[in-house]
Amino acid sequence: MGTPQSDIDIPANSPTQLWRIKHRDYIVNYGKSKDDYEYCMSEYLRINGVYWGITTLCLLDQLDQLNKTDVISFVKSCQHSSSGFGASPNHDPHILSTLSAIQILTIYDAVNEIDVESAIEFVRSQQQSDGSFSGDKWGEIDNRFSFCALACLSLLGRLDAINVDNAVDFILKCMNFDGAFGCKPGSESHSAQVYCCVGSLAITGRLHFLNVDALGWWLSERQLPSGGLNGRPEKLPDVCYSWWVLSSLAIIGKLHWIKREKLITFILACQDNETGGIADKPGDLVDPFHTLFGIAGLSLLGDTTLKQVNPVYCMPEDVIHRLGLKVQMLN
Amino acid sequence: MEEQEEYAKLIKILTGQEYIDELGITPNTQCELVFIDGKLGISSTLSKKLYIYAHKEFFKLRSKPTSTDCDSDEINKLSMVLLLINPECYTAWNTRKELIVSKTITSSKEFQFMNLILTCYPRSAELFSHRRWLIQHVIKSNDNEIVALCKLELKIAARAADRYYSNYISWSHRCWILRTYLSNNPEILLNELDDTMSWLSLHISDSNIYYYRQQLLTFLVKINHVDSKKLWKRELQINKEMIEYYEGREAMWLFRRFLLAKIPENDEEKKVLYHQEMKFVNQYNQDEGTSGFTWEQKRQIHFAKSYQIFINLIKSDLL
Repeated sequence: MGTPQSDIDIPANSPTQLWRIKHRDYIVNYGKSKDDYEYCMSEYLRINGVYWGITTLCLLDQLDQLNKTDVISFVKSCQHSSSGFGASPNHDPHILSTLSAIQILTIYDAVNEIDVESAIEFVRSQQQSDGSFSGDKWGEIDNRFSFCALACLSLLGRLDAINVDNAVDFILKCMNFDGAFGCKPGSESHSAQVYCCVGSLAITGRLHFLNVDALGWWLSERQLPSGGLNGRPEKLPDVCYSWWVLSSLAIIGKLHWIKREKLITFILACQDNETGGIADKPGDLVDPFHTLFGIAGLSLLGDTTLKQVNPVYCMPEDVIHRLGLKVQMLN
Repeated sequence: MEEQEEYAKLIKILTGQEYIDELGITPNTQCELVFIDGKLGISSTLSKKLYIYAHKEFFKLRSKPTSTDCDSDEINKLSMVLLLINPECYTAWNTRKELIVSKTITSSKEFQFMNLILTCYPRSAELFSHRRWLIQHVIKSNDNEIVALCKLELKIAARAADRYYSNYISWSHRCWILRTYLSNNPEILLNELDDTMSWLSLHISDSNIYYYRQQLLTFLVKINHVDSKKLWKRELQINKEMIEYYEGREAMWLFRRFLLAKIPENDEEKKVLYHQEMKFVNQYNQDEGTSGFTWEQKRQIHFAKSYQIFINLIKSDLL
């Protein structure tokens, strides 16, 4: 039976240096040339997109290229009266959008421009009796939402608003035999969910509940011969996992369990040196999501031309430092 | 306006009597809407125009402070068109939840609508999230038909898994149904084990299926099913044969770690098993750097080495 190779070959003429200015220009110009259709289609995640763009520019030390007032004004327009934030004005409030909103405003040191108490109450009201969090009033449970809640409230200095012990209990219920985590209890381990759970445990100082060796091993096995990281066994490598796997390894003190140089080569090969931006794999179309996670990954791997990224929040380390936030990390 | 006419045509089809069993967005530069033998095709050019129109009208209506019955009817139709083209628009799904609660839309019609969208978008996260809400909503008012409903859901998830390789979202949904409603049902657990066996033989590298079988076996042990140990050993044997036949498949090797570590046996039996496993894996004790090996053979040696480390770890109770 034919065996499809679950890996990619890095093309011979792939980029080998980081095109910082091209990526800056890509982000700054993103959306300006969008037609009506593309603009409409991406509304349901617009505020997340703004967070990806802003964080990328921060890491490139180019945040001043965007109009701060315009961005804050957009974020404010996404807040529902006495509630949380939607992805765009008139889109329903959701915890994913609310985290992005708080992250953006924290970066700009402009949290007080919005109704903070209502945002806190919106997040608090998503916690269920078993400690889990729903995304909104309709009740979908996922530990991504747990991470959103914990990250959001810790950035606002208000973890006291929720039951942290219960939140941790639920996270631990999502742990599988392999030491990694799925999206809910009884779901297959997935790198993005691992990041959410490990991040949650770091914020709440409960990393000792992890089976660090098993989890570290599972994470390190995400690295393929091409150097790229995948999200689950036998999947193709994807640049976004350079963030989720890498940051998880960094938090549990096992960053040295993957081959650093090979991953750097992979990420650099995913750049588009014509348009700027980074794609999921070499040669694919770029987008702001993969651009952020490629650059954040390179920052975590020690690229000193980039600002330092915080592995728990995926935000600039100097912003987290400014807040005086301490998160647990294992050595 | 052209889009208003096409919109009206599409609504007529969507609300008509004829059953629509498949949706497709066709890569076509013409503005076309085709409906033949239950297959609905919208050209991508037309879908873009329809989306912009429906999007604008939908959000205009949605932001009205009060709405009439006429508005409810219109927003129902607009949301259908929106979601046919972009099922990730979560606000549109939320609107439909409100319409279901107010009984403007029936649950059965909503399941049908979602099934249609799944033929085109088999891994829509927002769709499956809406689906889980609807299931819980239906069960709240009538829990007589839970098992029948769940059996159908397992089939729907399986069909979506068929349409997109390694579909985490549809498998996640299947796991959720199993865990939430069926984990105590031996007949279904055994049936699922049988059913997914044939699926496994066609998707040998799909980690979703191995995890699902992990769950099935775990639930059988939990309910103390009389055959759970026998089935576990059978799984080990099938897995061994597959590893030997299909070289270099990571998902198979990782599944074996679970089977070994969690087998419902006593310590003495486990010692015997670990010894057998070491013998089994020793056949791959070679240097993968040696030239002449294919990609698959190198991967096989690599996974065998990891498995050897794993056996040693559980032997010394470190894991």
